[in-house]
Amino acid sequence: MDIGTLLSYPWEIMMPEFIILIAATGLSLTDLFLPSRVNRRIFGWISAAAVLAALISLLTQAGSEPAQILHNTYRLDSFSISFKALLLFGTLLVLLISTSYLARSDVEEQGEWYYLFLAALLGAMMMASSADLITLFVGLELLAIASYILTGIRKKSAESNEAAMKYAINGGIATAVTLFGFSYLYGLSGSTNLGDISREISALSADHGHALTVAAFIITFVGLSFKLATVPFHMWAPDIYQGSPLPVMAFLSVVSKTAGFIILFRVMLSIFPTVQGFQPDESLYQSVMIFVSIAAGLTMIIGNILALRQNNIKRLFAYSSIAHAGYLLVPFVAFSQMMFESTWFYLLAYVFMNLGALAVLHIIISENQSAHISGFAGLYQRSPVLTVCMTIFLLSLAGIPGTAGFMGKLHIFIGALFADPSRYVLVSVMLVTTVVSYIYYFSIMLHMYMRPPKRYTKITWPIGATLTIALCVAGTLLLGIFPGAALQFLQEYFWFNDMFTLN
Amino acid sequence: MTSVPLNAYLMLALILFCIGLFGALTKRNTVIVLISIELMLNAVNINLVAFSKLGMHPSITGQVFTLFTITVAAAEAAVALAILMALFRNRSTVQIDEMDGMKH
Amino acid sequence: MLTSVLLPFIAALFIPLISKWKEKVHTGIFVTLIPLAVFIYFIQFIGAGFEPVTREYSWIPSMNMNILFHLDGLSLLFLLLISGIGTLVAFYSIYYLHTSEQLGQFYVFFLLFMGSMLGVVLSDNVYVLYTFWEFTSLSSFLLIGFWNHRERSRYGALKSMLITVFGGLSLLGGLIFMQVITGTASIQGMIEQQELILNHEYFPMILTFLLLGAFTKSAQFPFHIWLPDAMEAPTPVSAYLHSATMVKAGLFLIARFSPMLTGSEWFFLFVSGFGIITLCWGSYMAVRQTDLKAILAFSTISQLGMIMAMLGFGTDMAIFAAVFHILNHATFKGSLFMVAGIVDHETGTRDIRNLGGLMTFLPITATLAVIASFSMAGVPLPFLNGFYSKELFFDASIHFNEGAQGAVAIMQSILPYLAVIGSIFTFVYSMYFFFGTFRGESNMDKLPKKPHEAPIGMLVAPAVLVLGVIVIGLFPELINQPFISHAADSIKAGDIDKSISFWHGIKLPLIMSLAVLAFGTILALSRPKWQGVYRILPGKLSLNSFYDGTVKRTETYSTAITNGYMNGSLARYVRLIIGAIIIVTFSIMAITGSFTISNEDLSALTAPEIFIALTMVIAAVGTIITNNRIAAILILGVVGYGLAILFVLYRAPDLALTQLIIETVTVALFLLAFYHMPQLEKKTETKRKKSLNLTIAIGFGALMSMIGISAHSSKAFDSISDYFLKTSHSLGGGDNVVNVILVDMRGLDTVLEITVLGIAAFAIYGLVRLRRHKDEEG
Repeated sequence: MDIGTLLSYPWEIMMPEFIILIAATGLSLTDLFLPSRVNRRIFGWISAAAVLAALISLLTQAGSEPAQILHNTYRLDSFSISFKALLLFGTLLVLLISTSYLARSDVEEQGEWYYLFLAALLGAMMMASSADLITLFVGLELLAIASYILTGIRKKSAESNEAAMKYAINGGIATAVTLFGFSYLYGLSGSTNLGDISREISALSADHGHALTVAAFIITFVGLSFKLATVPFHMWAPDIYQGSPLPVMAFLSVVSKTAGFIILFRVMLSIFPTVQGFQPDESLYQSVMIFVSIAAGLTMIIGNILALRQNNIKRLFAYSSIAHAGYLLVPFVAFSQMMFESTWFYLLAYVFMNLGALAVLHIIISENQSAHISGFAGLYQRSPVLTVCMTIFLLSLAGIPGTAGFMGKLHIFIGALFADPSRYVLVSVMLVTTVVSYIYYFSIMLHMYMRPPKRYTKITWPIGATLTIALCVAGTLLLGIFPGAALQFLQEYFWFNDMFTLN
Repeated sequence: MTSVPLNAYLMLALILFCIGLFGALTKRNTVIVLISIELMLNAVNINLVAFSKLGMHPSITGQVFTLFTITVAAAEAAVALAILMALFRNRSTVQIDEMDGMKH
Repeated sequence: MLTSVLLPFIAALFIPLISKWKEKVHTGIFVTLIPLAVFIYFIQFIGAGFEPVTREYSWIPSMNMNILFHLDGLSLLFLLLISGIGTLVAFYSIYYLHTSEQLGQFYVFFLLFMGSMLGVVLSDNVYVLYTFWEFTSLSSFLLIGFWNHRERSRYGALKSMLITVFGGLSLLGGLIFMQVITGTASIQGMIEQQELILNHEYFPMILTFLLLGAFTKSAQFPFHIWLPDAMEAPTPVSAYLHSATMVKAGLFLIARFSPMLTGSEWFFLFVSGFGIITLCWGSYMAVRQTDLKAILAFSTISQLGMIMAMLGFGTDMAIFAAVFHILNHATFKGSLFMVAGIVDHETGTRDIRNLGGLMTFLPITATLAVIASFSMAGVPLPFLNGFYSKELFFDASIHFNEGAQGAVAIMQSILPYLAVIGSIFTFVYSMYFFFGTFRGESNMDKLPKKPHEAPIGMLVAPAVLVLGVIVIGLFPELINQPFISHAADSIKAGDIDKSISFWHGIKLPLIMSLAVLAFGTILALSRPKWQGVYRILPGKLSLNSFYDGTVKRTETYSTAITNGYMNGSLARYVRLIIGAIIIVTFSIMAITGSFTISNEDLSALTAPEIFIALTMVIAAVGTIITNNRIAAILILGVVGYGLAILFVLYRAPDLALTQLIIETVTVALFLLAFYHMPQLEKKTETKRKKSLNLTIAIGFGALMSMIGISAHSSKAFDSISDYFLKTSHSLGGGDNVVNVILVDMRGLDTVLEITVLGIAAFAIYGLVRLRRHKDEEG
């Protein structure tokens, strides 16, 4: 390849990735050569600015035609732009919480902290844009390895180390399983390009290689469910969320989960809907959905039931995030016209409400030096504003109308009921488990409003967390009251079906 | 072509994968668990290379894929070891079932 | 119209400021103005020539949804109730709540509730309706828990929330279904397409969902259990939410959808059936209560049941009576709650066993109470509105549309008897409420406070309501044409034209009323003798213990699962995961019959390959069983090198080289790590666990083997299509294919991989560096 070919690529479509890559490299080198006594707090704002810049440059790409470069390994389409926006926005908020967190923590490697986040983000973004198994895999691993280290970054805390170890082992097994699935996909098609794979597998006649195709689907799904923290790969989440520093937990439960859904959609939807299923008139995708829907149902049930008895707020939110992943699988199962929209909208709502709640959690935990639920007792007397914010997030997580969470759930309901065939069993499971979730969300409210506080000290508002809370409150309410704006934006600029073209 | 049929290799890979899995399940020493994971990844490599040579649509991409998995797996193992060492310093244990500082 | 709904919300925002700004002045004074303003705005709509109004505001155009406000007779009735009673209650609360309480908080919730309730009755879009609906539950939750230092308060708050929100959610399910069927989110639009819904195969489910929503909200049997516990709220709240407005939202919902649902047999059976059961059960339970507010709570339940039953009848008469009674009930029950509040306020207790003879101390209150409670009992006096609607109720219960069959006919024949029975108990508790409190012997020493008449301000609100009782009783036609008829019209499309009069001549309804009067008096006078009977039922079988049990059981299960399943043990997690894979894949394979095994086409293996493979397997097993870690890592090396040789056999020299290097580095790394770690311990594992693990691993292996074999058996391998081999030179300008691919075609991935390695390197450096610090310190 000569330089001419190299320059002929439309590199500008990779602009956001480049910004993040440059920021990460720059920060890591600076960190290496800067004397250790220099405070690295500025790193937080630099990386936040980089993420913001990447977000802006990404949004300018909205509405552009789908394009593929680098031998079809990198792909920019509506799907990748819209979901990358979620990743970037989520990371931005996580970084803001980080600035508050690091000011009060025992983490020594503050420089490392930020460029690890950026590297993890880069991995997630590459996953969103990849059209090739290898790129996907490398992106996945970049995200995974950076997350392992972030989990264990509080080196002196045994809890943090233990969480990191468990994460690395579980992650390693998940990687092996995913790769095993990928190797079958490759074996069946002789290519790692998603489009080629789809074409080749569809070309296989119905009985030839069917077993391998189904096995590839199941094994890949199981491997990927690790990132989503859904059944059967969800058990790691509570331990790891509890042990990791709070911003890392936020990253894992929001950004990493989003990345999981991205890769799930990308791989599964690119390959399987065109493959012949068990019955002559359905696709393989529809044939195996019964199993995915069982997984989704179990995820919702287990997540919500187990959350009931948690006294540690971080664990409680870990289970709640498992439950939310279960809700998010519903549109994937329903496979309706609204699938992308509902998932995207719910994820956006989830970014707002979960990160907002976690930012409040950060304030509470650092005030009390404990993650016990009693830390919320009497919060209303101590800080009414914070309580109202937390109430909004909790209501949204519970899916009470007027909030983003409700609109997201409503979308999922409608999509699943409109789907053909109608998934009303799954919807009923979702409704019932939602009622169960009220118990634990409202018990937090009970603590905040109706129990006496232990202390009456004023609550301090660190700037990063405050900013996050403000953004999240605004987002949660706006999306809840005027969801039209976000949906219109989505429909105007994104045409999700272009995911299936150009391969 | 070669006289070794594809599924003999697939079998070999499977045997390795299962031994690795067994190890990951039963072993209480974290180091052995990590080694078991390595075994599983090796199994994947055999699969990929076997497919690349003998699969329905042989192509060299499988070998390239293998290159990536080998390297990334090594990095992962290294990170896991480093984490293990940090944990060992704090807890003085490498026994996996003693890692239960967090429950419920 | 939008403004009127938003006004309370906006005002709620300013309440905290106002209560801070004027700390001396009671915040309630400002708050009273808001419902008053709304009341004045809506009262202008009253008149004989009223026509429904619809307003539309753009909301989510992409989902074809707009905020629609529909003002018809029914919503007007509710709007006036909400704002009218709201004004009185806010005024009453000025005297009831002391300035030392957290008034700001109270009035914020209060306004929140009022705004939501206005929204519920005005919305025509089902989702907007649902939104406001849940908001009423939420503000009710906050208001019940207002005196949160009490354990009962918190319990009641959570209970009411769980039950009503559960109902709300099922309501949402019903609404979504209806939207899916009709394609519109507007209630009026749905009603226009009623055929579509009534004939749909899911209709029973939709109806169940809707009724669950309405029944939980309106405290119908068996969901009524939350209402008595909600009485922990301050009395103004009980008067407002839990008797006059919020609990009537369920009635409103049924009334709203009546034009669509009436005519369905199921609708009649369920709504009338549960309504009448609630009427009887509620009034029976009210008799055995000792707390003044508990009596009123159960009385509310039974009255709601009565209205619900009438809505279920669906005849012109019944609907007219239902609407009329909604208004009447608000007047007399509202005033009775306020009276109970006054008694509580002045004596310090609500226990009727300690009260008695208060007439001499609280003469005005007693006068109000006697009128209101006699109206509630339906005593035939021309100035009591309760009598009129009760009479209409009896009338409706004996005049059904002809030609019913089966269950409907049976139901119609027993309804009048149940109506009478329920009314008898109603009479008994009404009398008990009044005479137990205000007449009889007074026992001053049991009262925490010495009673005296309440301040004038506190008496104004109940007095206004009692005045309403009398005015409506004396001049029922005053509100009939301009007001009640419109409301009835909008429930049943068409003209409902009824006249209300005291004397109809001696007909069956009057005889029923007289029977109630007679039996009621007997039972009321002999009440002490029946104490034992009242105690027997429901005893332990009560629904409350069912609710408590359910909540408790869910939590116990949760604990049990948490302990048994999420025990933090990694091995168990992985076992479960792999077990799940095996089951799922096996079942899919078995269902589809994908396992096909054939032995054709298998050629001989060459000796070196067999040898290498065997070595690798043996080495792998060795790694797992050895207890010497150095041996383990070295044997792992053997597997790795075996792999490298396999690569060579595959003519993949680059891979072989990489594998060799990586393997060496890995072994070295592990050895290095061992240097810092303890020796492996000899461990004992239970036989059971071991065999379980073995089973899982072998099961997985068997599964995969079968897949592999059937994969081979089901296809033929053919030509090579070596695109890269042919094109690498021309495209990439290199001779080593793998290198070309890595650099040119996989450039991006390679960059990423370098990032991975870089990150790993930095991280390991960081993690290991701690050691160095430690050494320096130590």
